[in-house]
Amino acid sequence: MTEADPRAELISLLPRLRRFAHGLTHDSHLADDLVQAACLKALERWHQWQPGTSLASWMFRIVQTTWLDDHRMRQRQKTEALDDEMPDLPGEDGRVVLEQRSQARHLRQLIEQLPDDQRVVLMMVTVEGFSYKDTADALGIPLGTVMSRLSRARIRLADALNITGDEYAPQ
Amino acid sequence: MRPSDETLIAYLDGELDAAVFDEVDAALQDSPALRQRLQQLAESDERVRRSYQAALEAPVPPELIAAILNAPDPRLDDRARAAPQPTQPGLGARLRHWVERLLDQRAPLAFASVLALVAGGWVAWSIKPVAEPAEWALRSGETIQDPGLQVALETAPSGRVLRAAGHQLELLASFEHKDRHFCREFNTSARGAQAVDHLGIACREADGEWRLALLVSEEGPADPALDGYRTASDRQHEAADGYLRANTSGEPIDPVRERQLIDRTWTP
Repeated sequence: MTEADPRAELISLLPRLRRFAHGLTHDSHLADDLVQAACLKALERWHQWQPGTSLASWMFRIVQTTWLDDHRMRQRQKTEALDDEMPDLPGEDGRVVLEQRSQARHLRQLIEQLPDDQRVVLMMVTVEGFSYKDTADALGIPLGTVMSRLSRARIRLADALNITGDEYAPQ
Repeated sequence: MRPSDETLIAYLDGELDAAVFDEVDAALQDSPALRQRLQQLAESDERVRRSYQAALEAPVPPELIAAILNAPDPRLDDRARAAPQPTQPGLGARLRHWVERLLDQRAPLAFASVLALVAGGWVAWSIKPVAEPAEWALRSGETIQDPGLQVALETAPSGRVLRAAGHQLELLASFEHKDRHFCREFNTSARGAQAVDHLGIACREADGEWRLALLVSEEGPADPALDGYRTASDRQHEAADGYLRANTSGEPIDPVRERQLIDRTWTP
């Protein structure tokens, strides 16, 4: 009983787990439900965690699988409901409208539109700073798949954001 | 050959092996267009990170913390789990009790933001602003009413310095009283040019309240070396040591046992 209380260790991870869950769900209430479900699941399966390995990557994996198991359906229902409410979401023709919105909102929308599997990898590598290998291990996918999903997501974002990079533009 | 976007991304992530890294470096030297593309990718990444910064910094809801603390301790084996539950409420229930009290008050506590402070893997708590002197009216012999201090005495290991809202609280050590209950020595001070410093000893009563057994207060200049806080003087420490010698073994409880006592609600 001299090891640290696992519950306290999970609590110390909560800010990062919530950010990750927010990236998956785009809804703060759903994100907190997801984090709570994942933490309780982790405590039930605590014997499966191998001391000495990264608790964070184990937890990110549980958050992700819990999301796939329990929350994707809810998320899909929510998206369909939103689509019903807003049939005139701007497409290519609506670019002008998008540009008038705040940059942050535009970016958030672009991220939400990414396929789920690309967004998970984007959150883990670009936002959370996991290595490709740790991400591949945590998600149980090959390293090459991490790289291809990640680059598809980032190329799409960089192109859509229309950043000029003028400083380095060819003369 | 122009490196692909995928290679540029791996370059940004520090995921290329040395040989390929050097090739990309050389290609970047030669090509303004490639540098522009790298810049676009890097700027896009930076915006993605920034857009999630608020989610990282948002206060963690107390309900979420309480739900985790209320879960069974997975370190207990099946036999221990099957054993009769202690009649004392567990740590999680106690913390939730405080959390609910704090939420009920909806006072200018900013408790939610305080919960965002997670002190070394443990829950931080609220220390009220100095503008509410009644909350800090500590008097020997009275039970401690401040929820932040109550939670700290009940759950925080010794040796932690907690700072919030212009106050600093340090739990110095725990002692076993000759009457078989437990006492904790703590030091609080406010930040400011002239700050009152309290060195206190609180003892846990059978009903779970913490009663102030001793309080030695002094006003004095803040110590710039302590970021504007101050610590107890020799005179304060001598008074506290006198009390501890007379009423306890005088030896602090070791950290492992203290941790067990916190987990067991301070029952011997």
